[in-house]
Amino acid sequence: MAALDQNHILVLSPLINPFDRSPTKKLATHLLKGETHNDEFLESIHDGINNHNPQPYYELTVEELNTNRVAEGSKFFPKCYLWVIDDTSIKIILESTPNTKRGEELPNKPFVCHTNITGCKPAYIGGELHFCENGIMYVNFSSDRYGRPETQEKKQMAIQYMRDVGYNAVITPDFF
Amino acid sequence: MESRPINVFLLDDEFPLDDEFRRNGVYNSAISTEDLYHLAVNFDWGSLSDLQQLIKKIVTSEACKMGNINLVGFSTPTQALSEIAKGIMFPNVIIYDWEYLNAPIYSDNAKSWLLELLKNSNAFIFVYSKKSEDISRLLNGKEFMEFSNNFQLFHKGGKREASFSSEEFIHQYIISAASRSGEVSINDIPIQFTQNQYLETAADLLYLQRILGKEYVLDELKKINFFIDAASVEKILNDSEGFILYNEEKKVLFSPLENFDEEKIKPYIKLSYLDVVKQFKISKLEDTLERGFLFI
Repeated sequence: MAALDQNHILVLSPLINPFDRSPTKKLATHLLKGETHNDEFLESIHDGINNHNPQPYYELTVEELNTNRVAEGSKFFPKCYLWVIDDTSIKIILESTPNTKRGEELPNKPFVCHTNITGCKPAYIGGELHFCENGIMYVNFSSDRYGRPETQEKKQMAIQYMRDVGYNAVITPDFF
Repeated sequence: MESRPINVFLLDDEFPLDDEFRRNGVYNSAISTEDLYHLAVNFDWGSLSDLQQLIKKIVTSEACKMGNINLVGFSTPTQALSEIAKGIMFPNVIIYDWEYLNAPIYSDNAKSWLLELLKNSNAFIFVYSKKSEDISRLLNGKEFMEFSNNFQLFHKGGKREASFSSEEFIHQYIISAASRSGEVSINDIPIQFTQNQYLETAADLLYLQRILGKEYVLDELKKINFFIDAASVEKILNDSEGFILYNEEKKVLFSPLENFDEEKIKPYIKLSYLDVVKQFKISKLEDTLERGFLFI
């Protein structure tokens, strides 16, 4: 169990609003109906401060890991989780969690997004992760709302925090 | 035109009451396409005028005239479940009204009937409600998770700027399921849609809107006289002059709008939006622009 401490916060700061790091999207123009609320998903949002495995919990097989190139930075949607570190801890939700309000605007994507974790509030950093049967949690920073951290130091600190919580987290490569 | 007959079940307990129909027991079992149309053209549907218009559009469509759409009404979900159980008729699409007088919002009945329909049919179900805001929490629950690709919640009379209204979306879905071509509409603007190698259904126009912007696509639709086929999709994509970077060795697409480390993404070539859609799929182009990069 671990909340963010001052060492984590010092490096991860500042808290950012959704899309603050996006070169193309803005909070005022790019959030859809169904992407701003989190009250419907509180039961599905796992607080990493409490224990290690979100529910439902799905692990990649090693074959899925390799076939879908997850260790290289890609994703496998059925077992992909979204994560955000907010002002207190890491929050995780299965990406395929239904979000019917969002589906009204995006019929091919009736699922949750990162701002459904935070309720559109500021957070330090976010991305995607996969648990694997090999015991490793593969983490990337793919989030147009809270991802794309400016420095390697921030990425490393996010991973360090996940390890402090108890996850066996490793960074997958990206291109930034 | 390719023939793909489909059954569309319309479940609603607020069909207008025709005395003759009532005397003849029409409301006690499946209501035929003809009888639904009779109700749609001869009665005031009050707050359900959007549904009334939807019925008229479906029944007067070319696909329906050619026998490719069998629209059937049921006054209660139990009638539809009974029809399915008897093995007489299986729905491909269900329009499910959530406001039953004997089953108010949040009632267990409406929820359990919907679950039964999801479990007992392969139909795609449009959950159609005046109070979609209130029931979305129920539909996002764990019981519905395994069916999340089989239903969609829509607000009755729901309008969205420069995009499909709820009824327009349901209409295009049914037309696309029954026929390779037909007339659909966006914000009351009629569009002649023909399935092509780039867009499988009229709903795929939403990909174009998200890739290029709603206003841009509407402007382009005017230029092509609201006629969507392969050639017009190619024109829309080419007119945008958009491009993507592609690293063939790593099989990764990159959005040029992102601030990538050049050394990490080299060597790459430029692919036009059209090239990306031709080589991969329009959904891959959209994913690349949304995520910044995409493994192929």
